[in-house]
Amino acid sequence: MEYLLHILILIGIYLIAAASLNLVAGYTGLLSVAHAAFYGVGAYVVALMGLKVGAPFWLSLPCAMAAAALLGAVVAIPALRVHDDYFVLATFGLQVIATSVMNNWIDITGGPLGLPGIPQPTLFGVTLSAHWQMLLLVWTLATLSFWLLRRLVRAPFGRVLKAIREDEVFAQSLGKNVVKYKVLVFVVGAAFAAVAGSLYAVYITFIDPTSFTVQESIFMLAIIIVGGTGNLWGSVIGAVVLVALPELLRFVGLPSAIAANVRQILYGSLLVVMMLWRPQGLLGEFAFQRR
Amino acid sequence: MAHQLEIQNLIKTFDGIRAVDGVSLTVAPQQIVAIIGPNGAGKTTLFNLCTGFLRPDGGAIWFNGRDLTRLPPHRIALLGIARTFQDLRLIRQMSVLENVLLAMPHQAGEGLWGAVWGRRSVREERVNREQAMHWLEFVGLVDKADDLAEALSYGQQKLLSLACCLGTGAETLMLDEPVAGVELATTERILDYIHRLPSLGKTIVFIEHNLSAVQTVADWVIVMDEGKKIAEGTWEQVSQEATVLEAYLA
Repeated sequence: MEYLLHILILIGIYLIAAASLNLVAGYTGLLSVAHAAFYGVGAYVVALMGLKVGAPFWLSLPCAMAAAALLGAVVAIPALRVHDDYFVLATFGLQVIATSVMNNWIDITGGPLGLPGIPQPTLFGVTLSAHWQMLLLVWTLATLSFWLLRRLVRAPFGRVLKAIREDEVFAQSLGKNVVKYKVLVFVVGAAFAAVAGSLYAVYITFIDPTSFTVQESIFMLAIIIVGGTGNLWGSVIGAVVLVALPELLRFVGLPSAIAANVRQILYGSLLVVMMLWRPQGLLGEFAFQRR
Repeated sequence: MAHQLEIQNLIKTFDGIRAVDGVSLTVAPQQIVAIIGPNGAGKTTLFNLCTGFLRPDGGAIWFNGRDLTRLPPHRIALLGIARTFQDLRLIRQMSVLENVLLAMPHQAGEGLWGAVWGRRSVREERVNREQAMHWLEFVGLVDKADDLAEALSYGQQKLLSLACCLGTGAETLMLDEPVAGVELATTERILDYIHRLPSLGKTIVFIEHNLSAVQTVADWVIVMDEGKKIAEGTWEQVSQEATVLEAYLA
């Protein structure tokens, strides 16, 4: 039972990360591979505020969002001066720097040893230590995040994002400030990634840099690509499929020596098959491709 | 007569070649001005300079007494110059109606807060829909409002790009080859709409190779060749000038 709850909690956390990445990459077409960096910033801010000053989660969560948003803004301004492939490389650079800082700024981040013993969140004096309590917290925040992102993409705001993705020049000719929208979207995406990271930190109660590497960014991209780019429900399905499916394989009875590798192979094959047969993802409406 | 658009000695150089070489011109409110000239004369470059997609190397562009010379495209659009493109830009994956809605200026629902706390933006969207349907009615695309833009014929897509221009609320429309590649019946429709626009307070500047179209609707014709303005006047005047005939025959 606890195992099932664990999976559901992870799905909720990845849902927030993937839905916010979908806003950036799926709706606006900014293929960022730095989402795990913002996710990591959120996790480290909450962990440090909890460990060093005993700040409650309700205070450290908005701080984590603000820190990631600020980093997003600082990075967006140079990164958005370049397009397409170069933008991917610029975000890759940010991701590498972020992981490197986490590994090497040992006084603050604990380096590769990470930060153990992160305090769990409390609500009305009750510490949320049981799995079902964490599940409630994660899914409440996931629902709220999903609702907010959905408001954004369904409003005229979302229409502008889609126009920027499809034809920037046309959007500009109609009076849309394309640079402002891209920065805004990148900042909002970073803030929600930090929500996911914060939840991860207080749920696992231990973080180290391996959870926030470029592989993690690519895993988040895989969720939105499998689920469907430019469709928020696609991110929900993608999170369910990519988080739960490898877990199901535990029950197939593969010898433990090869189980991990088989999971990697299946995960890779799934991506290849998706790209060949349904590049827009399960629920998506557009495929990343050169135009 | 007060000028709406005034271009002074505009210069744009690409790799040492002067694509626009000291062009000056004025456009009065509610005038229909055609810009003609052989390929490579600098007509589209001139449009790109006026709408902020290119920065001039010299000269100035004034619109209603404002200097546009260093402004980005979106600011110029909001100040009142909308344009279409030769290669017909639209969001093909959006509905016809959504394309026109996208064009509407200053929407509260396009801001972050307006989108999330959307009472005002819901009401605004309703008003905008009516306005957008009005423009679709003007160009005769009402029955296509819910179709995807990509489902339209080429001529209909040209009409939609005109409706988008009108949706921006801009006073001046710069149309880059509005009837090129369009079949005769639709050409006549588009020319009829252009002809009616000054009575709605719009000023039109258009580039066109179809000279009979120019003859039909233009009040004033500017002829360009090799980056320079070589003649201007009414169609009757410019079509008699030796330099114009030479540029076209060469």
